[in-house]
Amino acid sequence: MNSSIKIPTSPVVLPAPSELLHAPPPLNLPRWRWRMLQRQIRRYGEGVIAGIVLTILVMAIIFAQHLTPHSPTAASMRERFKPPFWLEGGSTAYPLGTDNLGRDLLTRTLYGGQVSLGVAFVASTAATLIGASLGLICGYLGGVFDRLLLRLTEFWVSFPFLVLALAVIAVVGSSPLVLIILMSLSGWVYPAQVTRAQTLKMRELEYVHASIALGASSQHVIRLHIFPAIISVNIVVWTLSFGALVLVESSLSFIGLGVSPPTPSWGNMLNDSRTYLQDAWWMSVVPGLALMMTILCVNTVGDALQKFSSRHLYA
Amino acid sequence: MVLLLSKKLFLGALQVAVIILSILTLLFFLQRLTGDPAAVLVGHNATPELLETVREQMGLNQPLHIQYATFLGKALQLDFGESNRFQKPALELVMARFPNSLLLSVSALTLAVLIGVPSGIYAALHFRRADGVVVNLFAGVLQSLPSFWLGLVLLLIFSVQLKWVGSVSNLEDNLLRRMALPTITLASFYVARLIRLVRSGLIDELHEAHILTAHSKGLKPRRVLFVHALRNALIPVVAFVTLDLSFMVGGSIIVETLFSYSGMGDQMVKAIFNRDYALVQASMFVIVVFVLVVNMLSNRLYQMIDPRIRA
Repeated sequence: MNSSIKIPTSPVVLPAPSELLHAPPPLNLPRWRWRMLQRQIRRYGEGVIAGIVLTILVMAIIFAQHLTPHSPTAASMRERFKPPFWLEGGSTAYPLGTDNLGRDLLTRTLYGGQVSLGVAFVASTAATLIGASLGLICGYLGGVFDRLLLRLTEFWVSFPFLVLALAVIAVVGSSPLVLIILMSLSGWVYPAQVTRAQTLKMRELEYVHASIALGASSQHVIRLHIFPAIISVNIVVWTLSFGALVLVESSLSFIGLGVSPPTPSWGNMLNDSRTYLQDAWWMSVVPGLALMMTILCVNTVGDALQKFSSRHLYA
Repeated sequence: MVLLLSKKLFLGALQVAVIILSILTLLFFLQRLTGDPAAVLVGHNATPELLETVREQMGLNQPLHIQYATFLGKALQLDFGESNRFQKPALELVMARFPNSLLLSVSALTLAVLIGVPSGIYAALHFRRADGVVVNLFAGVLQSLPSFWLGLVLLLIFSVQLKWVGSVSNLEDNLLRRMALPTITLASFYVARLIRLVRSGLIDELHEAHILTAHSKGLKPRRVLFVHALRNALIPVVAFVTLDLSFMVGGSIIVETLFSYSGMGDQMVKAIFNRDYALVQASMFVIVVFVLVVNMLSNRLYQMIDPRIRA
């Protein structure tokens, strides 16, 4: 950049900082690349694998209508309690067996995922949006708002959420909408705390101070300096809260106070299976495995994202 | 100093009071929102006269704010009315179950600490070796395992296949057979959390400069680990064990329902299905007060252990 300007006293021309940043790596040896790759794999490998598994799972769940010939709710009494295909009496028409009403378990698990993941998706998105906005506003304004937010989060955290949820459901009944509202109400605290902390940190950085000193408006500072930092943090928070809310939804459905049958959800399928534990073990194993795989993959991806963002992004 | 302490105590008590008041308010209005409690009590084929007498008895003819005041007054005297299913004072029923729930939570927490902390230390000391990584992976899987599903699988193995324990925990069984599966199920998630907490805390701590100093003084490695590193690493663990009790309460509701364990949670869920609002209200009240008291105590404990946050 500055190469046209000759500095006679110094024989060495230093590259400008911007050139250093974008300069090609000093070495391009295969071994060097290999080491780098190895390190990346060790750091993020499990996250990538979990992400791929999760993508396949979610795709199967979204396109369940086109993947299976069976209906998730139509019962056929002649096909009751069929075991998975590798056991005696099982058939490949029902690869993972059938339940107490003769419904294909794989179909029900996929359709159940639509409900479980759908509710958790909407709720965690809403919770993150609410929490992040509150955290941003209160963190940036400071003062009374900030103290108010702190008090509110303290209050909220000390409250056993499941008990509140049960009380509300006891009275107004349960539907996916009620679940979404309750879960958003429980989930906004964590994004709010994280966003607030990040906003406070960014606001005190020197270049942000400089920007304000140069006359930048609040809108400009938030949009240009604070917003990008908050986005990366909240993606991690969103992922982790999604996993947690999948678990909450299935817990509520499991004790019979979430999504109610015949609509399948992983929780109420597991609840149904309790009665037939003696006769049909696959009824409790198949939806449970789906649930566990989903939560495990989401958590692993979340951990990897956290590692990545703390290394490469604002943290 | 005394003034400062009393101000703090006052603020804490105020916070608890506000929380309890808001819970009571919520309980009251939620119940009134859904319609007529008297109609629920007498059933749908009762005569209008009977309905009217019951309404009179329950004080439902008075204006809402008077009802609210009466409700609050009664609640402050710990009177939540009678359970319409058992014909007994609701609070009495809840308190009869309280020791069982406490026993389950405490034994699960003890089990979790006994397994989680040593495993966490092991995983931290060997964090580059395969066995340490395996312990950490195990914790990751255990953390993603829904507790009720783990409970189902345990039932499948130990009750259906091996027939070691009954599928519901009835009170006639001996304590070990009755408590084993619910305790393990409830403890599993906390074991995983504890392993991860202890591991990451201890790894960070072992890289601190004062550990290097301790080693270079020639102290025995065991002493360095237990006196210099572990004491600092355990501070967040103590906070977790005590502060996360509200999650424990939620988790125990699920586990109690799964095993039909005779605790508060199981009773509360059944009361919800039976539309027994007095019992639901009393259960909620007891659970919330319990969580608040434990939270306050644990804050104290936390400050005692770590003098740095006393400010």
